[in-house]
Amino acid sequence: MTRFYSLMGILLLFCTFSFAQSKQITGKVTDQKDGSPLPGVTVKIKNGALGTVTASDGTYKLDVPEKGTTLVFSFVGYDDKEVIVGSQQVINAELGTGNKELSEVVVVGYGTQTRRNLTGSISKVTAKEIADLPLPTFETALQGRAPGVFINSGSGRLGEALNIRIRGISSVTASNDPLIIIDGIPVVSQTASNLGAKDNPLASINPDDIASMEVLKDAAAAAIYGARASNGVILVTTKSGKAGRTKINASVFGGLSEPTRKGTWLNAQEYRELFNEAAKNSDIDLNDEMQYYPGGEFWKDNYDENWSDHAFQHGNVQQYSLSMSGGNERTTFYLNGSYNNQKGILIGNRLNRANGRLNIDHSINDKIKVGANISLSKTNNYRLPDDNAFSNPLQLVAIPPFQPKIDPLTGKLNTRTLYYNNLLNLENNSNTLNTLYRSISSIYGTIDILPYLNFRSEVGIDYVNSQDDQYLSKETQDGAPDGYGYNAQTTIVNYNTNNYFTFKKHMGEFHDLEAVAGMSYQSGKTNVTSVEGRGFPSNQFVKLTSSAKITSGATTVEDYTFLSYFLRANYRFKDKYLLGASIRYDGSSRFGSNTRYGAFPAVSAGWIISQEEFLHDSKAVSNLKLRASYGLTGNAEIGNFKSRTLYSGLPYGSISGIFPTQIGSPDLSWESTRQADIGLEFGFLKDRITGEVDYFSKNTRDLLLDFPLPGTNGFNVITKNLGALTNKGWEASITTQNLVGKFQWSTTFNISTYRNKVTNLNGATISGGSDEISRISEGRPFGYFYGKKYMGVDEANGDALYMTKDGKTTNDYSAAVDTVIGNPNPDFYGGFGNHFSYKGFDLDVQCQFVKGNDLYNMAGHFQSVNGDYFDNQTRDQLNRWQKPGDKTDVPQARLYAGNGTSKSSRWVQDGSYFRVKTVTLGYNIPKPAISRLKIDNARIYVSAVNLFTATKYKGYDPELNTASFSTISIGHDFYTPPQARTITIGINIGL
Amino acid sequence: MIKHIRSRSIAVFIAVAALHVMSCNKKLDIAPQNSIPADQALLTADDVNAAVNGLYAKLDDPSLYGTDLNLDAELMGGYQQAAWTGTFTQPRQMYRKTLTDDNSRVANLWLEAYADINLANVVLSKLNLVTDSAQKANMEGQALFIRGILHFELVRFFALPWDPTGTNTKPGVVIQTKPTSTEAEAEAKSSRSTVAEVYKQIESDLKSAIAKLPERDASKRANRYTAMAFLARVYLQQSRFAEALPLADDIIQNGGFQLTPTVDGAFLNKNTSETLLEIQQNDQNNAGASNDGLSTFYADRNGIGRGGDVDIPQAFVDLMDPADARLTLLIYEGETDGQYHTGKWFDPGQNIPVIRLAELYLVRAECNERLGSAVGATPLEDVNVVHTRAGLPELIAVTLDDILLERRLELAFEGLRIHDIKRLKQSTNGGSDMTTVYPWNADKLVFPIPEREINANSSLVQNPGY
Repeated sequence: MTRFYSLMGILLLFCTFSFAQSKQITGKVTDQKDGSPLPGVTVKIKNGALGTVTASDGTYKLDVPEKGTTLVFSFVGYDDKEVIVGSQQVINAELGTGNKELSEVVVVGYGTQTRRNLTGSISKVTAKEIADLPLPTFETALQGRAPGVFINSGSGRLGEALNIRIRGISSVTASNDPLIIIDGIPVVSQTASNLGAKDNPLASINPDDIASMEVLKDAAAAAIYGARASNGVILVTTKSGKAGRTKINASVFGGLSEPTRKGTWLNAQEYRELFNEAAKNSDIDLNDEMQYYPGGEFWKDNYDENWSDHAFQHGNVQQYSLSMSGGNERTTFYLNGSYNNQKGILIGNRLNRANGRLNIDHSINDKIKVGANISLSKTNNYRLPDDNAFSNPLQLVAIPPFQPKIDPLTGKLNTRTLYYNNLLNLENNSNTLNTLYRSISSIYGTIDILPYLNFRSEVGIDYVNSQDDQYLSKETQDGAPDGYGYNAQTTIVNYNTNNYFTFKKHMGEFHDLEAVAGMSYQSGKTNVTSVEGRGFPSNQFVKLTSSAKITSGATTVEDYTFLSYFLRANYRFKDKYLLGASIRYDGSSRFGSNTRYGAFPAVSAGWIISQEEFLHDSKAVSNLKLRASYGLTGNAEIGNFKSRTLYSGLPYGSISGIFPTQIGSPDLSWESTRQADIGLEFGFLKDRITGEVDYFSKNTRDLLLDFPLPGTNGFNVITKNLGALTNKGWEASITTQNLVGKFQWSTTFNISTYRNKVTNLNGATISGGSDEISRISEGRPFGYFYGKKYMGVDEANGDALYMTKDGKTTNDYSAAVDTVIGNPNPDFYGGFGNHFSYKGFDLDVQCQFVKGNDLYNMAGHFQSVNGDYFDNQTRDQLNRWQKPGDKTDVPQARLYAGNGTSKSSRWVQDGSYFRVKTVTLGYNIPKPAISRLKIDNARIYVSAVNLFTATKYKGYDPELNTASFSTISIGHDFYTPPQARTITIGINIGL
Repeated sequence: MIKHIRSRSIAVFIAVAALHVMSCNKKLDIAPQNSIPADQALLTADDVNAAVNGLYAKLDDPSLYGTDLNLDAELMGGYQQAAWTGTFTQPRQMYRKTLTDDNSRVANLWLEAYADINLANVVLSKLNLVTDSAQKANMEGQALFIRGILHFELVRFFALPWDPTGTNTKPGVVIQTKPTSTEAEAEAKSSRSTVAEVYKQIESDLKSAIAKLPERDASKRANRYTAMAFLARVYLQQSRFAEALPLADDIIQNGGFQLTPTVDGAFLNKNTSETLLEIQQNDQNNAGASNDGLSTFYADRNGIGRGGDVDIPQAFVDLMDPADARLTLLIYEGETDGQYHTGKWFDPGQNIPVIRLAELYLVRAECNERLGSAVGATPLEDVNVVHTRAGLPELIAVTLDDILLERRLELAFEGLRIHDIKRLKQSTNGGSDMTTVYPWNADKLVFPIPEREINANSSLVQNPGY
C-alpha cells in the first residue's frame, strides 16, 4: 500500500505541473450572521479537483486555471455558496445558515450525502441534542428522538444490554439488534461479560466523543450493509477537529440519582392481617406452620422491616472531561480525555469509565489525505446478578416484613429469613467486577485519482478485553459452604477493512452522478478462558490461587468472517429527480458452502417537488420531496456454526466422552427482508415548519428459525430457514420554529408505529418458558400473550374465576380456555420536545412516550396472590375478597390453596407511559463578563434524565424487559430493577 | 504520459485489491473448534467408545439420574416421605399433584432421555468401526442397556402404570430404535406405542445387553449384573416375580458384590462393592451445585443445599426404630430449617448409586415370600442381611409387609417411591393440604406429555387428565 501511495504522490506532481498556467485568487470568508471570519471553509473550483481551506483568519489563496469559471465555498452547517470568477482577483464570501436542514450532511454507508439528495430514510441525532446529559450509554440518546427507533432500556442496572428495535421486530430466533458501526467499523455490541445479566459493551463508549448518529432505516439506506441490515444500521461518527486556533474545552458535571418509581408492599401489621386471614381460611394454625420455615420464629416478635427499600441506595454520577481540537489547513485533530463515575441506584451497583480519544486528519497534499481515529477505554462495572437470581437485590421484597434485617442474636445481617438475605452479597469481601478494556481504532487514506474519482481505504480494529472477577464469601448463598471464586477472560478481536472508490460528477447541464464501489472484509474472533473454584481459607483470600478445589475450567474459541462487495449509484437530474440503486454481495462463514453468498439489491427514487416551477417561487412551501425505495436486506446474526451437526465433549466423571449437541440444516442461508418505503419530506414558511412522513412495509422470509423438533428423535430444535413475518408502520416527525429572534422557541414531535405479524411458521408454535406467557404463532404479533383469561372474583365465595370456551366463568383453572390475553408490542411510541432560548438562557425539554403495550408481571404469582405463600405481597392484595358480596378482583386469601395463583391475565397490565425524558436548563455567561478571564465561553446548566413518569403500571418502572428468560418473552417483569432518575449540575468552559 | 501513469497506478491498485480479495475468499472456510462436525466425530473405535462414555455422561444430566429420575419419583410419592417445601414450582407441582403440561422439569426429562436414546442408537449403528470382538460386544451391550433403562424410566413416568391384570394397551411412550442423522429424520413424527409394546422392547434390550455385557467394565459402566438388576426391576414392576427371582439370586450368588459394613458406606465412598450402577461425578463434572443436583435439593448441612427444599415428614421418621442406623446416620436436622433431611445426598461431587445390592436382597426376599419359595435364602434371612446392617437386632419372622417396609426404609430417597406405590397398588396424597388421595392408577400420578412435544408432534396423544 505504501508503494501505491508514493506512486500516487508522483502522479500528483505531474498533475500540479500540468496546471501551471493559472491565476491566483485571494479572499476572505465570513459568517453572514456576525461577519466573523470562518476558518476551515473548503474553497473549490466547481467540478474540479482543485481546492483549499480557509486559514484561521478566514482568508484563502487559490490558483485558478484560466478556464475556471465558478468557485464553490462549502462548510459544514452552512449553505454552499457559488461565485463566478470572471475577471475578479479577490473574491470574498459570506456564508449563511438559511437552509440548514436541507444542506445538512448526512453520513450514509461508505460516504456522505446532503439531506436534500437523499432517497433513503435516515434519522439523525447530533452531538448538540445530547450535550450536557448524563446518559448511561450513548444509544439511549435515540430514545424518543429518532422516529422508527424503539428503545427499551431493559432494567435500571448500569451497563446492561438494552433493546433497540428499528422498525419492528424482523426475526424470531436471530438477533433483532441493529448493526452498529463506529467510524466505518462494525463494532462488538453484544455481551462480553459472563457474569449476571447480559452486559452492554457499548457502555464503554464516551457519548461526548460522538458527533452524530445516523439510523439507516429503509432498504435504500441500509441495503449497502446487505446481510446484516435487516434490523437497521446505526452509524456513529466521532468528532473531528476544525482548522483554526486550538480550542480547549473543560467540563464537569455531577449529580444524584434515585429510582423513578417504587412498588408498594405490605408492612408487618398489614402482612399479619392478611396472612392470619389466609391461614384461617385454609384451616391452618399459623403459629404451628411458621416453625417449618426459616425465620418463622420471628412471627411471635414485633419487627417491621421495609425490605424493598434495602434494595436501593442513593446513586450519584460525576464526569470530568477535557478536550482539545484545532489544527491548520493540512492537519486537524480532536483530543479528548474523560472520566465518568456512576454509583447506581441499586445496592452494590457501580460503573466507572475512563476514555481517551485522538482523531487526526492530515492532508499530505491536495489529493491525498490520511487520518486515524484512536480510542482507548477502561470500564469497571461492579455488576449485579440477573433478575432471576435470589441475589438480585429486588428479590429482597419477597422476604416478609416480620423478619428483621439484622439478627438480634448476632447483631449481623439476618440469615434466618424466608428467602436468602442477599445483602450478604455485599459483605465479607464478596465482589463481582467486570473490567472491560477496549480500543476502537482505525486508520484511513484517501486519494483523488481524478477530479471526480476518489479512492478510500480504511482498516480498523475493535479490540475488547473483558475480565470477569468474582468472589462470593462463604456467607453468601452461592458462595456457601466455603467460598466461591470465578474468573474469566474474554477477548474479542474484530478486524475490518473497507476499500472503495467514490465517483462524483456533474455532467452536462442537468446530470449529477455519484457512485461508490468497493469491498469489505471482516473477521471476528472470540476467545474465552474461565476458571471457577471453591474452598477458600477465609474471606481475606479472594483469588483462585487460594482455592482448594477447581470446580470448572474451560477455554473456547469462535471465529466468523464476512467478505462483501458493494456498489451504489445515485443519479440526479435537474436537481429535482433522484434515482438511487445499490447492491451488496455478501459471503459469510456462518452458512453452508452452497449457500454462503447472497446478493442484496435496493432501488430508490426521489422527486424534489419544490424545485418544480409551480412551487419554485412559493412562499409557503420551501421544500417538498417525495421519495420511495424498495430493496432486500439480510440477517445473519445466529450462532457461528448453526448449519452443522455437531458433537461436543461431555465428560463422565473423570472419563472423557462425546455427545451430539446440535443437528444442522446444510442448506441454511440468509434470512431475507424485502422492505418498501415511501416518504414525504416537507418544509413550509421558509422552513419554519419542517418534517417528514414515512410508511414502511417489511416482509421477512426464510426466517432463521429455531424450529422445534419432536424430542423423541434426539434433538429439540433445528435452525432452519422457515417462516415469514411482516412489520408495517408509519413514522412522522415535525419540527417547528415557533418563535425566532431574541426569544427562540422550537418544537419537535415524532410518532412511530409498527404492526408485527408472524405470517408463516409451518404451523409451529413457539412458547417461552413455563412461567412466561409469550408465544409466537401464525397470524399473531411477536411474543403475544397467551393463556387463561382472569375474570376476577366470584362475589359469592371469593374464588378466582377464569374464562371458559363459551365466554362464561369457572373457578376450575383447567376448565378455562387458553386465549390471547395481551400484546407486548406498542400501538405507537415517540417523542415530543421543546427548546427555548432567550439571551444566555436555554431550556430543552424532551419527552418520550409508549402507548398500548402490555406488560406481564411474572413475579405476580409470588407477590400478588392474596397470601397464598409467605412472600411479602403488594399492597393491592389488601383489597381481597372477605365476605359474600364483596366486589374486588383479588380473591379470598387462602394459604397454600392456589386460589388464583396459576399464570393468567391476572398480572397483565397496560405498560403505556409518558416520560419527561430529559430536561436541560443552561445559562451561557455573556462574553464581556468572561473575556477578561481569557475564556471563550462558559456555561452552567442543570439537567435531568427521566425526570417524571406517568403510567398506570402498578410495578416499578414501566420501561422494563427482563432478560433472564426466553428471548421471545418480551414485556415480562420479574423483579426487574427500575430506571434511575438522575439530576445533575454541570459547567463547561471553553478557552 | 500522465494518463499512462494514472492507468498504471489504477492497475496496480486493482491488482492489490484482487490479491486481497482472493486471500479473503479462503477465509470464509472456518471450522468450529469447540465442537466437531458429526461426519468427523465418529471415525474410529476410540470415537465410538467416547460416545459410549457420552451415554453415561448424559445419565448424569440433572434431568436424568443426576437429579430428576430420583427426585421426581420421590416427590410424586412424597406424601409422608419427601415433602417439597422449596420455592421452585415445578417440583411443588409433583409433590402436590398439580402438574401442568408446561412443567419444564417434566419436559427436560423427556428430551434428555430421548437424546441419550438417540446416541445409543448412533453407537449401535457405528459398531462396524470396532474390530475387537470383546470391545464390540461391550459397546453393543452398553448401548442396549442404556436404551432399555431409559425407555423403562420414560414409560414409568409418562404412561399409566403396568397392570398385571390388564391388557396394557393404553399409550406408552415412543419406542426409538433408529439413530437420527439427517434433518428429515430429526423431523419425523412418531406416535406412542402401547405400554405392553414398550415393556416388550425394554425386556428385549436388557436381555440382549445381559448377553453382550462383560462381567466387569473397566470404566465403571454397566456389566451384565447391572443389566440383570434392571431387568429384575422391570419384572418386579410387572409383578413377574418368578422371573425377577432368579435374576436377583444370580446377582447375589455370583456377582461378587458385597454390602458395605455401614448403611452410609455406599454413599460416603465411591464405587464400593455394594453398587451395581453408580453415576460417576467429581468436583468438576456433576449435575449441579446451585439449581440442580441431588444435594442441592435434599441437603441442608455444611452449607450445602438451598436451605432444605425436601423435608422428611415426622410420619416417615416414626416408621423407624430409634436405633436404626438409617435414622441415626442418614437422617439429620437441617441447619437452616431444623427439619429432617436425608444424609444420602450431601455433596454435589459425590457419586450417585442408582442400584445397590441391598435392593437385590429385598427383591429376592419379596419374590420368595410371594412365591412361597426360598431360592438362595429365606425371606427372613435376606431381610435380616439388610436389617442387621442398620444396627438392628435380627428379626425372627417377616411378613410381606415387613419386607416392603424394610424396602421403603432402605431405599428411601433413591428414586423408587412412586414406582413402588404403583406396582403395589397403594395410594399417595396431594393437594394444598395434602389430603386429596390419589390411587395407584390415578391420571395425576402420570406425567403429562410435555406441551412443547405435543406442539412439535401432532401424532402424539396427551395423557388423560391434562
